[in-house]
Amino acid sequence: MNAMMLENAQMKNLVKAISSNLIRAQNEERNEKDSSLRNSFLDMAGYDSVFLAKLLLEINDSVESSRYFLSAAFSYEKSGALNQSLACFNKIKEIGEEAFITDAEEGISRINSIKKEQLDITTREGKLSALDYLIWKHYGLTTTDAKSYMEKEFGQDLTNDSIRAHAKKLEERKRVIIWGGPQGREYHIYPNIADLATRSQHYGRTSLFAGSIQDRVTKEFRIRFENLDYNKEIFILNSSIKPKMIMAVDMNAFVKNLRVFTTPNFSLKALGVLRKSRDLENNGYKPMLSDELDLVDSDTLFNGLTDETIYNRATCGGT
Amino acid sequence: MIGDKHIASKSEALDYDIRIQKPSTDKYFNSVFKQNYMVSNQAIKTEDLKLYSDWLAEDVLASWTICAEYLLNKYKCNSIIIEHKKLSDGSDEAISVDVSTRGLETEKVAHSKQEKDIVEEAAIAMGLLVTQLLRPCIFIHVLKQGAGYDYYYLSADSPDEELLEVTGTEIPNSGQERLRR
Repeated sequence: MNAMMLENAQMKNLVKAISSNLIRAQNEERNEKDSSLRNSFLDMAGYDSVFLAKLLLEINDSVESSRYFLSAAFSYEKSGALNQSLACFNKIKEIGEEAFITDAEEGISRINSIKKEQLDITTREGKLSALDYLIWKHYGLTTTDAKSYMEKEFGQDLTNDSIRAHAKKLEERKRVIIWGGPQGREYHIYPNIADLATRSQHYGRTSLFAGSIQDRVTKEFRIRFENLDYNKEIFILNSSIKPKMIMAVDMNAFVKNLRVFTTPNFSLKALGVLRKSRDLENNGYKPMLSDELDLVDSDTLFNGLTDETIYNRATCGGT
Repeated sequence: MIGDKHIASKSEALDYDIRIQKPSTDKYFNSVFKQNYMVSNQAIKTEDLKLYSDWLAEDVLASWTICAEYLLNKYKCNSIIIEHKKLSDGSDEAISVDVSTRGLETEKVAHSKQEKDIVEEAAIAMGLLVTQLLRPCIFIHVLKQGAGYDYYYLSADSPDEELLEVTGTEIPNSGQERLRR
């Protein structure tokens, strides 16, 4: 037990939330007919456990951090959030505390051996897991895509309304992020990578990242204008994402949306490729930040509250 | 604990366990304990579960508390026997402790929960109250470990966290057997 847990208000609140949700989940174990409530509690406990584990890692308590990552991994595994669970097990291996490695390796092996045929898609939770599986497999689906794949891969002919309802439930559980809707408009459903225990397995992949603009940090990069087509402004995406991420936006996006980028904590969603901040060096942006941060190199931006598109590189011709 | 309901709890790291049952002068009691018990001047109040509110949500504690109170009221139990292993010398000790509830209406509990749930939640409540009585607890948290949910606590007199296991059963004297499975 880390002494900080007794003193630090944020950690205390997280410990309380995690324990309470695990107890609620344990109480729901008796409900054999419907596991959705239990799984919701497990997902909440898993999410908070990952956040607490990251805080503990920031103060270099790798043992207690690994303990909470392991608890999160088991919580997610039980609820069927397999990608989240796998990320926790991988993070434990990255940290490298000997006492937890065997559990992590066994967990990775166990999850990798799960086949989609094992899902009980006759239940609501099974359908939710099937949709979750497809979204992570295809790295983002529209409602129409999801409906098609559900039929092709699971033999389930679901309505668009049903797909949207399931996607919304997955978003509530923080497994995915949605852009689009409401009502008849298509949902664009992406894996929630930002909140994983580790993003290391997902570099180079395109996904959607939700957050708010915290600080402009372009000045934290030493810029050599060798590549004139690559002209960016760079922001800390959100202080509540751990580890914090930066977002590179096209200069065109910045200029056309000055009000957005000068409004503190403006909520937005960014569609782009996940990279490391040092990857920008290839384009003349050498990071001078104290930490190496993950970066979303965005090409499309949405208002986080209205889902209105505020910038699209393809249509705005930006760089 | 109450009538034919029994609770067993143990903390493996420091090798002590407790067993609670209604004080009785009948043959069963004498056959189980085979020793005299001391009367403690300490008392257990169900409302003291709020001592855990820094670490556990109110609704969780409230549910445990009302289940314990329901059974305590049902069997008109106002004192219990705790048998435990003393940390100082490893010897066994049995003490009698008064128990009091908040005096609330508890009849509806039976309708809102199944009997099995009531016994299990009451067991956790009484286990925590007795743990608090024997070794004041300054921290408790729950972790998911494999298929189970593990409760850990930190007492004021030790820097080491301990695993707390509690079970409730209606079969006399079988609580500790369940824990050792």
